[in-house]
Amino acid sequence: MSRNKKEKNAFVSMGGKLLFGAVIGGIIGVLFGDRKMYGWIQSAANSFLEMIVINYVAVMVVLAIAMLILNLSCYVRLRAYCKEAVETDDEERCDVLDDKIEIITTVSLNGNGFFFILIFMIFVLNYNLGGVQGWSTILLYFLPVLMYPLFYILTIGELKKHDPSKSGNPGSMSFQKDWLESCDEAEQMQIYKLGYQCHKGSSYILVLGFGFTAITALIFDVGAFAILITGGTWLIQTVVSSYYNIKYKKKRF
Amino acid sequence: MPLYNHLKVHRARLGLNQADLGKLVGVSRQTISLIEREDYSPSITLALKLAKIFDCQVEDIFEYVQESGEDEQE
Repeated sequence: MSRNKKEKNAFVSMGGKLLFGAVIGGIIGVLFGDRKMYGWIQSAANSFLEMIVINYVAVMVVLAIAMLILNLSCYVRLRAYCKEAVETDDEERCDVLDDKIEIITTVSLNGNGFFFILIFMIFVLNYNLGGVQGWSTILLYFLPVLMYPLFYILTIGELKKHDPSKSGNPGSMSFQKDWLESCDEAEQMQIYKLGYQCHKGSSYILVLGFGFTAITALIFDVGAFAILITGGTWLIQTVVSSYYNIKYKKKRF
Repeated sequence: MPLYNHLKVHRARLGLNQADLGKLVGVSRQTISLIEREDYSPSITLALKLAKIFDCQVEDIFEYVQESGEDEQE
């Protein structure tokens, strides 16, 4: 196939997808444009949020316990694997342990982050929807949230004991940079690949998030602010990505 | 990328384990293991460092084998 024909096919394919998206958006707009017809969706969503607010204490306690169980079990396993990795001479067993250490670290750090975000969201929702007020709500928020840095620091500490070449203070603003610089070439390559995949994934999520917000704004009375926030985040991500694209083109690597 | 290596053979010749070799060339034990398993192709700098440690040429450690698809394209 000639180059011109390939470029023409690519244009048709991309243009076709954008047009298809516009048609789908138009159909959904017509279907969901009448809020009265789909008012039950808004009532169901509001009921769900009110249920969370009414059961705020129970929800926060359950999340805090789940977060503690996850963190403790991952930390105990990580310590056991790191200890065994130091004591064993079998290189194949070391490879297996290194894989397990990576998986446990990923589950621990990301699971920790997941619960942190969830607890934060529910705390904000509670205040936003006029739920339980007072010191007890703040305490129920801060106690699990303090778990996040504690187990983060403990996990990083174990990883540094396992590989003393790693450096970086988790409390420092330059931790990610220091950690990356202390990684060897294979580890850096892995981080760069991961970073690229995250960038690709977040680009899709922002586009879909903006589309979803635009559609749900037809059903729920959220105002234009939600659209501004998601659209603005998408714009900022594009600008930041362009900035680093230009910056790293000039750098030696 | 088809880059075969004889790293384990050279390492055994010098009586080094993966961790010791990693310390000598400035990488982690896991990276040495990845190279031996052919899951990672080292940079030129790392390949040259390894060749210097083993006192041989880079080609004595690493071997590039053309895939059949590349032959047909030529």
